[in-house]
Amino acid sequence: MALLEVENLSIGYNTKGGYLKAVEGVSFALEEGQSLGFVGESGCGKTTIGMALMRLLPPNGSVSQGRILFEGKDLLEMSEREMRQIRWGKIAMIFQAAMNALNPVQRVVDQIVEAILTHSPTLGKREAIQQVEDLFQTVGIPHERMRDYPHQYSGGMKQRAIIAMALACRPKLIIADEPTTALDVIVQDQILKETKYLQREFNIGMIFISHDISIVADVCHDIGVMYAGQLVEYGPTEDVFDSPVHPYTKALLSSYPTLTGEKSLLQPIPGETPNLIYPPDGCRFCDRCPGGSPSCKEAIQAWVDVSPGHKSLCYHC
Amino acid sequence: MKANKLDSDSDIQRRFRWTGPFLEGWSIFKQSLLGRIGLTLLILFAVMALCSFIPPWIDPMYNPMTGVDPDISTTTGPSWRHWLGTDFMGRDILSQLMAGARVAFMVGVSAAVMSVFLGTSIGMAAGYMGGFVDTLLMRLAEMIMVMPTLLVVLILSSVFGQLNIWTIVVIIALFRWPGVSRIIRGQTLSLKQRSFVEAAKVAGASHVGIIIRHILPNVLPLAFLFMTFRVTSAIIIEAALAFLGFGDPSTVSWGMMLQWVWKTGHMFTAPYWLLPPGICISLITLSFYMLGRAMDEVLDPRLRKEDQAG
Amino acid sequence: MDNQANPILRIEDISKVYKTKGSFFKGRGTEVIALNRIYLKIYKGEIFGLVGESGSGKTTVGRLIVSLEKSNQGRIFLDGVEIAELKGRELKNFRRKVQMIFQDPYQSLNPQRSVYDAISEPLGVHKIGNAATRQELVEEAMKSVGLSPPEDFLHSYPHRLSGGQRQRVAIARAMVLNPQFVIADEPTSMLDASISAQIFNILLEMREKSGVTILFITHSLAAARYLCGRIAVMYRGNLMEIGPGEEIIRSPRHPYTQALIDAIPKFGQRGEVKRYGTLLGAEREGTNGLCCPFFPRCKVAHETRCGKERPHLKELSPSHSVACYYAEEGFEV
Repeated sequence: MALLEVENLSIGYNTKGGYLKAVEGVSFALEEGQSLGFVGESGCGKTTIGMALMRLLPPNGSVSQGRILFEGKDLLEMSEREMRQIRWGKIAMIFQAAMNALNPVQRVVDQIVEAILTHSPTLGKREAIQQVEDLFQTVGIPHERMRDYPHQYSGGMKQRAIIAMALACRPKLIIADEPTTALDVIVQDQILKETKYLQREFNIGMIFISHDISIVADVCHDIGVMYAGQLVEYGPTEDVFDSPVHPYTKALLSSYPTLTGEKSLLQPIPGETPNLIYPPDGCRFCDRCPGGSPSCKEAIQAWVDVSPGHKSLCYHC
Repeated sequence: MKANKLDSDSDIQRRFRWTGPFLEGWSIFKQSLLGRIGLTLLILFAVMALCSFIPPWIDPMYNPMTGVDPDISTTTGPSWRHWLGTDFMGRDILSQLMAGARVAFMVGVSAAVMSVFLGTSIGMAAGYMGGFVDTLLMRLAEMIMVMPTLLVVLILSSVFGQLNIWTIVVIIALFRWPGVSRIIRGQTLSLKQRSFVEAAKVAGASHVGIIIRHILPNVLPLAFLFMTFRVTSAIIIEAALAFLGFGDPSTVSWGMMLQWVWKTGHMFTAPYWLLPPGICISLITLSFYMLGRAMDEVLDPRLRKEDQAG
Repeated sequence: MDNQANPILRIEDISKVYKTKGSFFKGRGTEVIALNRIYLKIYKGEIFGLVGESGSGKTTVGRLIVSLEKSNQGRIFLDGVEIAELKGRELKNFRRKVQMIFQDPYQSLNPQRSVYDAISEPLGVHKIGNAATRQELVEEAMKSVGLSPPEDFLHSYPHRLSGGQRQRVAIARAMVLNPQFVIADEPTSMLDASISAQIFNILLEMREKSGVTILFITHSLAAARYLCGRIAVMYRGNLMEIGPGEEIIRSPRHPYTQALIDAIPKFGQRGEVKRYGTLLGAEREGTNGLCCPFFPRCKVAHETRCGKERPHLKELSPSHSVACYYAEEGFEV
């Protein structure tokens, strides 16, 4: 049984302009100890999925259909009390603005001790502190900085503290939403390496959300490319990047400047992402797609298997 | 692409280039219940003020100040001739009430316009120039801010005798700008850091040009918001002054009416005379306040932003 | 580059120090050195990349050039004229020649003014043309950044536009005066990849069409490689390495540049990635202010030399300079 199984998940927001279909019909599965990356541009719904997995959608957002099976149980049907046990206890999250997740007037160590004690009340305070010490060692924060306040930490150290906090309760699943976006490349590299190492070392499942393909390619086993609320391509990282099939994945890959290889003219994707309150019929990428044809708008979208585990939501493939 | 949406929008905007943002603000305003109640009440009061010329025109005895009913020499309750009754001299209360609405608007709006104008210009100057000018103006503002307006006006009028209604307006304005100027200064300071101001500098725009084109339009909504709150406070100050006997004896304001009730000892015997001006003062200040609250919502950038998902 | 002898922009020995205000309790304010004696030459018609992490001082360089800030030391020449000396009419003329594109398109447009107002403002300031010709110039600038047809956007307000569209408006505003020199300060760091590529290509097209010189400030070496002929790498206010983009990325000589290249995630070619490994795991303790700025994190540094005195930029070849004592010899890790 997979650790996490998401079936046909659709999520929407009530907005001033109407009902915004942020995520539509997304299905995926994650095995224990595997990592899955979601890549897409802003507004594609990747963060919304992360929030829905934690059941932390904003008040105007709701899951309109689908199931989220975590260890076989549907998270969407749990009571808020059960869910609280699972949040941080079994599913931890590293937020986009993680730097702000630390309370500025409390020592870092106390904050993590508190998190541990909330989820395992039987533990003594001394043991909890010992645990934090071990955690800081794993994420690479010097022992003597434990009793500092958050503002004394650099951006990278704060992020490490957040990762330590996420690991504190030995979760089965970590959702990392753009954990390194605000960091400089060198720090980002260190944090990514650490995340990758810890994830494999502790056999934690991970959902990694990012707008940056190269980061996801670096960290994840599997990858899902999202566009306008839909998953458009899904498969093992190597397959998706080495032989992309969906026109959007191809376009995204060729719009990135690279450090190596031939310097060729970038191919930007023309136009803008569609309005998700009135999404277009058929393929949502059609208007921006170099190979789009009127028939794409009429055809019912269906998954096409490219190779084992690698599929694409394009009618032409 | 959201071509359709954009097309229709730019169509509207082409036709109403200047009113475009205004119309959009209106559409948010309309959704606010407070705003609608406030606006309705204000329109009623405005109609009342505008119609205050009608009664004296029908019959001179309805003149709020000098018109005395020849048959009545004391206060009477509502009747067909005097819908809300008469005061101690036999003057019509309804026509006084309508004249009072006119005075309230006059005092409130002109004092508010003046104080907000002062506050906005001083706030922008202090925020934009910074340094010594800033320190000087803000210390001045703080000094004025800690003086209780009502007390100062009372002292002034006891020194200079009865004050004309316009003098009262000017004094209120002079004592009510510091609060506005502090807010506007803060806003100016943050606008100064925004890169559109820097872009204008790089393009070679002068300081005056930057203030007029980039700072002013962005603080103006806030200034308008303050205007509504200042109207409220000006009306209350004027009413309090009049009630305490320091008003302009040649105008009929609601505060003046209350003072007459009080002075002639009808406080507890003539509710038909006491209640109308009292209720009117409460309602008009409340309605300006509600208008301000609704405008606050319009100006809230969180409601203006386009809906995001991600 | 045919104009090697005659740079359009010359920066000589520029330093910038920010002082934080002291307070009664904290005592004297501290000084932060944002730029430390920078020399730079930019030639006509090139796109020059200034690459660095946050706090490297790269944005400060741009702001000094457009004189949004004043330097504490050193001089900047545009076309042989020192810009700090400019006043009145000459300053206004200078403003016509140098423009800037800002990082955040959500901040760089006045929310209360329409697209037409924004782009025509520089024309108004410099009293160019009348209403009709201005509209023409504005529309032309809009077309050149891909906002077409212009009528669709001309009277829109910024909040109706997407981030990419806003940045195009900002570029059109910068280009409408037909400047000689444009500073693009991380113009795509707030935008999605596919939109960034659009902006990159617009910048390339601009250079092609009008021959404008562009100083492209970025944190991304890959973006600099794509756009720029020459690249300068900055670290904590110091210029570390300067040279042809391709050369710097293929064979970086400064240990910091090498660490930077190590850190960039590469995809598409697992296995064959060469690592320099010049970054020290933990910061070196007990360094003084005189050392090489990268000394605390440098694996190949020597206490006796790098820890005592800051190395200056030294030419390895006429086009490639490095501020490292050991760059010539190369180092083994």
